[in-house]
Amino acid sequence: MDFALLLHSFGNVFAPDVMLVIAFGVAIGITIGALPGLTATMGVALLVPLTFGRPPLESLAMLLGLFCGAMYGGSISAILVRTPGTPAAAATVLEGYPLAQKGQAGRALAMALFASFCGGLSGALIMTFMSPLISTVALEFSTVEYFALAVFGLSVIVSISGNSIVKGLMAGLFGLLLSTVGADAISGFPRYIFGQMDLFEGPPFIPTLIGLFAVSEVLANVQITKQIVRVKTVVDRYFPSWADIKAAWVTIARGSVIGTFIGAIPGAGGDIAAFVSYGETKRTSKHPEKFGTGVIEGVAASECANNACSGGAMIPLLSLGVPGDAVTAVLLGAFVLQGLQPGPLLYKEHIDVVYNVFASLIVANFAMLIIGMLGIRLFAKVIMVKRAILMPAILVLSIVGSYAMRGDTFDVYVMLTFGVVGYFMQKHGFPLSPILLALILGPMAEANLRRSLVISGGDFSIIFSRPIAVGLLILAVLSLIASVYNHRKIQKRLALTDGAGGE
Amino acid sequence: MKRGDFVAGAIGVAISGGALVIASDFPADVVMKIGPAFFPEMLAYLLLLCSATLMVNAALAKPAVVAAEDPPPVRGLFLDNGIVRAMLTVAAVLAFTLLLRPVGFILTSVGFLIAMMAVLGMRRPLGMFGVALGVTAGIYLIFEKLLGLTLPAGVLDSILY
Repeated sequence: MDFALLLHSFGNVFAPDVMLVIAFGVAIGITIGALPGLTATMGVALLVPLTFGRPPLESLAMLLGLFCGAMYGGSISAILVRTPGTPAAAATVLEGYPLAQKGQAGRALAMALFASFCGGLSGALIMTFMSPLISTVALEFSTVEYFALAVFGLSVIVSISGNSIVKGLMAGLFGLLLSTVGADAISGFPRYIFGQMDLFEGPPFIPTLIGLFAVSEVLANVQITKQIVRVKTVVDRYFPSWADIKAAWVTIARGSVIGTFIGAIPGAGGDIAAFVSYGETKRTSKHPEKFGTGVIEGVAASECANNACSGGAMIPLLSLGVPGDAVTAVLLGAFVLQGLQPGPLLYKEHIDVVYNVFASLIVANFAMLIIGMLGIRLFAKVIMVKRAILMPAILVLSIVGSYAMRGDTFDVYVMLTFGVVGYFMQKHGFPLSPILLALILGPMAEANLRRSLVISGGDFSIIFSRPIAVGLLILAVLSLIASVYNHRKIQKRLALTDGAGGE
Repeated sequence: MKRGDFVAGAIGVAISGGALVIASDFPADVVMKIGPAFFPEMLAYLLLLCSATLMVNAALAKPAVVAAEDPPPVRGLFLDNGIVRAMLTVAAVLAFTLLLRPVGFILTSVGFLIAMMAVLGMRRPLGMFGVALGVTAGIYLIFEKLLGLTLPAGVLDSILY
C-alpha cells in the first residue's frame, strides 16, 4: 500500500475529463441496471467498444463507474416494478417491493442508494488495501498454482450458476473448448479454425461476449409483450432518515464485509452476496417474521452487499488476473484491449494503472451517490421506456461495437451466432457466465498446465506438489460437491422472488 | 422424457465428437507427449460424459409440466408470435450486416431501426423515424467523432466526406 501513489492517483482521477467519463459511466450504469433485462455484464460489454483508442485511465474509469452504477440501478426496478433490474438485485425485491406497495418507495430507494454507496465504498477500500498484499503472495505463484486457480474459478462459477450442475459443467466445458479455438499458445498450431484466418487469435472476445450477453437478451426480450406495471408512488426522499440509518448500520457494515469477500471468490458474484447478506440479516434480526413485508434493513442488506461485491470482485482480477465474476471477466477484456494484463505483474510494470483503478472505483462510488440522488426521479421513469425502442437501439450498438474494432463484418456474424447460441442455451437452462469465464481462464489453465508438465517431464504428480495448488484444487472439488446440496436451497429462494430472470 | 434436454445433450455429444475427430489430426509434440491435442481432447471427453449424462437424465425424466402460456398479447400487434419476432430480429441483424458496407451505416441503421420498431409493434411513423434518426446520429457521432473509428459511409460517401 503506497499512500503517496494513491494520493497522486486521486489527482489523476480528479482531472475534468476523467470525472466526466466516470459520471457518464455511472449514469449509463444506473440506467442499464434499472432496465429489467439489461444486466451489468451486458452494460460493460456494450460499452467496452466505446473505449477503443481511449487512454487506459479514461476507459477503465468509465467502465468502473458503469459497474458501480449498474449494481445500484438494479434496485430501482426491484423496488418499483418488482422485477430486479439485474440478477444481483433479486434479493432487493423481497423487501423493496412491499415497501413500495405501502407507499414508501422513496424511503426504500433512498436506503438502497445509501446502502449501495456504503457497500461500494467499503468494497473499494478493502480492495485498495487487500489486493497489493495478495499480489505479493501471487508473485511467488508458479504455473501449477495458476492452473489450480483457473480450475478453482471455473468450478465456483459452474457450481453457482444455473439450476443444474450438469448444465453448468457443460456450459463451462463448451467455453473451455471454445477457448482452444485459434493458434495453440505453446506450439502455435492453429486449432479448430476451419480455414478462417479471422479465428487465428481465437474467437474475437468482444463480439463473442456482446453476442452472449446482449444479443441473446434482446432475442428473449423481443418475444415479451407484457407491459411493465409500475407501483403508483411518489419518490419523495433523497437520503434515508436518521432513524433508518440507525436501524440499518449494523446490517450495512456486515453486508459490506460479506459482499466484498463473496465478490473476491472467483466465480461468485453480486446475486449470491446479496442473498447471503439478506439471509444473515434475517437470521440475526429480532423480528425475522416481519421479513418479506417490507423491512428496511432487508433492502440495506442486499444492496450494500451487491455493491461491495464490485470492489471484492476486483481483488482477484487485479492481484491474480482471475476475474471475480462475469462483469470483471468483461473488464479483464477491457484491460487487455488497453494492452494491460491484470495479475501480479501489473503491480510490477504498471503500478500507476493499479492505483488509478483504486482511485477511480472510490470516486465512482461518490459519483454514484450524487448522481443517484439528483437523478432518482429520472431513473424511476427510465424503466418505463418502451421495449420497441430499447431493443432495436441495443442491437445497433451491439452491431457497431462488434464491427468497429477490426472493421470486419466477420465479427458481426460471430456476434449474431453467439447471440443465437446464448439465447437457446438460456432458454434451456444453461448458464452463460461459465462460458465467459472459461474463455478467460481456459487459455490460462491450458498454458500453465502444459508448462508445468514440461517442467515435470510429463509427470502429472507435479500438480500436487505445491500446497497452495492442492488447497485450491480441493476447494474446487468441494465447491462442486457443495453446490449439489445448495442448489435446491438457492433455487427455492430465487423462485420466491418471482421472475428473477437473467442468470 | 424431457425433449429439450435430450436434444441439448445430443448437441453436446455432437460437439465433443467433432472436437475429438478434428483433434486426432493435430500434430503430436515430438519432445513432450503433451501437444496441442491434449487439452481439447481432455475437455471433449468431459463434455461427452456430461452430455451423455444429460441425455440419460432427460430420457428417464418425467415430461415437464407445460407452464401456462403467457396471456394473449396486448391489442393489435402486427406480429403476435414471439418466436416469429425473434426470427425476424435475427434476419434483420443479418440484413444489417450484409448492407452495412455497400449501403453505409447511416441509411442501414435508420432502416433497421424503423423495421425493428415496426416488428415490435410501434405504429407511429413520425415518431419511429425520429427515434431512428436520433439513435443513429448518436451512435454515429460517438464512434466517428469521439472515438475516431470509421463506420462505412456507403452510398453517402460523397456527402459525408
